[in-house]
Amino acid sequence: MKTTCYHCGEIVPPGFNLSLIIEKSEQSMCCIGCHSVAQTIVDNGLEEYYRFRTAHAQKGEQLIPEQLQHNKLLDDSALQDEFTYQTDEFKETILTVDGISCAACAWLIEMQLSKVSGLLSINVNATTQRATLRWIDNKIQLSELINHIADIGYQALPFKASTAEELNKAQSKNYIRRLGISGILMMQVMMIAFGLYFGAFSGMAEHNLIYLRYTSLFLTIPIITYGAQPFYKGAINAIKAKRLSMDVPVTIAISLAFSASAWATVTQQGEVYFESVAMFTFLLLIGKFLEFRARSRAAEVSANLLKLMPMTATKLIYQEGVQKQVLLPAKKLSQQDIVLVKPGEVVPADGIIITGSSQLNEAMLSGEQLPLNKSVGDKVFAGTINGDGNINFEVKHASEHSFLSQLIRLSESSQAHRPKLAKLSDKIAQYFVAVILLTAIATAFYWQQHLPEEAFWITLSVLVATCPCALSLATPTALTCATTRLNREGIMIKSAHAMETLPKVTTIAFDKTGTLTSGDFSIIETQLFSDDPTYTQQHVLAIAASLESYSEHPLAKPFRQFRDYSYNTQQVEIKSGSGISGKVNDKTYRIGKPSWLLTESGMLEQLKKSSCVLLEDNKLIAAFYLADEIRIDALSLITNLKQKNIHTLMLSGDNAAGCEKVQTILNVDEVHSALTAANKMTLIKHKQEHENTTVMMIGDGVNDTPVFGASHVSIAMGGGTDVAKSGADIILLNNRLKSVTTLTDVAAKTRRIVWQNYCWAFGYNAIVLPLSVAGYITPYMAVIGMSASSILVITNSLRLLKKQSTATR
Amino acid sequence: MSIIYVLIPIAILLTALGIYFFFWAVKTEQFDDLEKQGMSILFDESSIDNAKKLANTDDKLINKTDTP
Repeated sequence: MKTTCYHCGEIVPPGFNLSLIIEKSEQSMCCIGCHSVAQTIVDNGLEEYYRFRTAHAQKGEQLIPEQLQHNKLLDDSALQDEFTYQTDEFKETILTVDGISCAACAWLIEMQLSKVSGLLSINVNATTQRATLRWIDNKIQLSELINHIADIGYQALPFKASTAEELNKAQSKNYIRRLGISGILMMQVMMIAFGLYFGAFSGMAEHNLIYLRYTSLFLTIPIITYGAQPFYKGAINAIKAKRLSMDVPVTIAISLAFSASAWATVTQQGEVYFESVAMFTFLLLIGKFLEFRARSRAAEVSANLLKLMPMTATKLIYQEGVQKQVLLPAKKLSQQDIVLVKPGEVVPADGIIITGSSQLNEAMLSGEQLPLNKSVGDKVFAGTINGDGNINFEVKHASEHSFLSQLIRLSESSQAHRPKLAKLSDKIAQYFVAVILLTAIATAFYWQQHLPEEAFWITLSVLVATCPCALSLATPTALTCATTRLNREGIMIKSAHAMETLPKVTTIAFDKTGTLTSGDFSIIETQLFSDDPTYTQQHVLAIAASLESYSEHPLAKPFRQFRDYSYNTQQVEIKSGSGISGKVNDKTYRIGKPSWLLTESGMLEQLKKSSCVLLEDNKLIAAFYLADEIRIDALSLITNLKQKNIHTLMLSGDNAAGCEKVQTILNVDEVHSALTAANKMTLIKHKQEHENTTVMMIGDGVNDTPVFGASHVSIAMGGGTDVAKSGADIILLNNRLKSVTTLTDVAAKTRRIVWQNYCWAFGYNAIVLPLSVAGYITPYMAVIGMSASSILVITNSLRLLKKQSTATR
Repeated sequence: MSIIYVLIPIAILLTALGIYFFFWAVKTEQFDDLEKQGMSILFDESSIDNAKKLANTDDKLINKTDTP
């Protein structure tokens, strides 16, 4: 059995022997990063974390000195103004913390930080994955605090909180207060109502009856003045906008039932409906609160994605003929600055290379997976990742005019012109309100003619009995349950409209790289050529992995999992764009492009298609075939969608040959290759306008975000870029394409449940309406009927939480 | 039945008290993070003290090296 890392749960690579005594027993670690994190935890006496955590920690990463330097930029006071709040004594900020997997993490961070001198307070929220810090500025720097958090394996960074968030927080507290008031008082009113019911059957002294009614009135006042406020506001807003929402009939029912009951209490005639009003308000508040919470949670998650870590640049300046390197935020770069980009770093601005050559990975902008060779005179773009070589380039535009910012702006403007489908609940509310009001007027008119003294009370009972309690709970409860269920499976719903739009989707557009394919290369075949039997596949891969661990090239990454730490590697040299040479266990090896290493033309012809070859001295040992593999679940998803008659599209920035490879396996309905972001957008818009389709887009790159805005619903892969994730309606946090099936299934089921809820609520109202019109409904019947139908609707919605056995195929 | 003239006011008083404490709990942000609050009971108070003690000794050590 392979041992797993005690800290992060990953498999410990062979030959890697590092362990730590945690709570009196020895535990193995998978990497230096995890070891140092665990060591810090143990050294600080916080081992208890391991006992109570409910999920493994994130893999520990060692902070490289450059990262520490980058964090220092956050101490810049001009930059800090964007996200900190300052008083004379202290500074306060909220950071988003990556890697919080359970509540024990929050405790761990608080404990670790609470002993740092200069820090006044820290509060970590495990649900929102945020930390609120308050510190004294001249005693400790923000970057040091971030480093302290990094020591125990979490990445804390400032982020751009949306302005709505502060408001949401206050609103959430208000909702909880309203719920509390309504809940507690409803119970009292209910209790008294029972007394009144018994009195109605077995007789009660007049003075007792009056007393109980007045107490109910007194207890209901806070509920209708404070608890029910959100409904009044919603109704007023709807009427101001000249439309009807569900809040309108709710407000009418609450205010009329209460004032009539109050009138009945004072004048000592007629019926009281206090318990109906109280219960009604409480149940509806729950529905409203759940809806609100799902919405604000989604807002928080998307805000967490908008990290404020400045992109850094190493600017070269010449002072008296001596070259100097200065680290500064990319925003401060101006035209004609000379910038140095080291291997593996992100290019901070658009420009033209003046010295050096390297391979640049532009997958994020173009979808093209393999890095492009670039040398002097070639253009580089902000946001792309440098390969193995050092390059110096001259900045051509300031950062706000870079290609990256233009793309982001394009996606923002397309978001503003999104196609929208009308909300079902609002449509229903309009008809419902009209029907109820007309019936109430007709009832009042009829009884006025026949039994004038009872007319008012019968009309009132029509309004109370048909109060759309179950009706207004129908959608929010179903949507909240569906969102929770999907969340558990790693699917994050960010926009409220997504669930309603999903079942209507007729066309799904996929990005290729990173969406249909995994976006990472993997080794699909290893060919062995050596006669030496010691060169087994495992051995060869381990040698290759030892050498490739020095490279930043995307083709080097898949070798990492074969790393064996007992292999001793020396004298490694990287030749950018060609390969790597070095000594492994005292033998000299070279690994790289076939055209670089193979001199024999026959051999070269034979291995032309291999991605890299391994040589010992000059003897060929192995050839490796690597490919950006199609996700295992892609084929089943596409077949599944075809069965459902959904049109599938592949939109890729890659060339036709690359798309053809994927197409032969997946057989998507339509393929479009070599598209820019703007091309993709016009294509989708054309589909919507001329073929009248509802389009869903699934993607991962920055170049997909403008398309997200143009489509009806958008999904971002969890492994994608932050820009894509913050622009999408839904994020597949689990990064599994198969989730799309789950998503459409749950959305379809949600729609079914919502319809069932509506049918029941309408059915109930249809039965009660004639009875109340005829004057047969007494207050307690109205209460029982109303709460029973509400509970039925809620229980029906709760069925969405259950994972069906068919879903686990 | 006249006992209800005493009992109901008492019930209302208790309810008012309950609401007061509920508002206090909301104000002190006890409903902000339900996950962490649920967990906090598991961790020993003593380990917090230990951690603080450790920190103090660290500080002392640093002070000692500062003033030889």
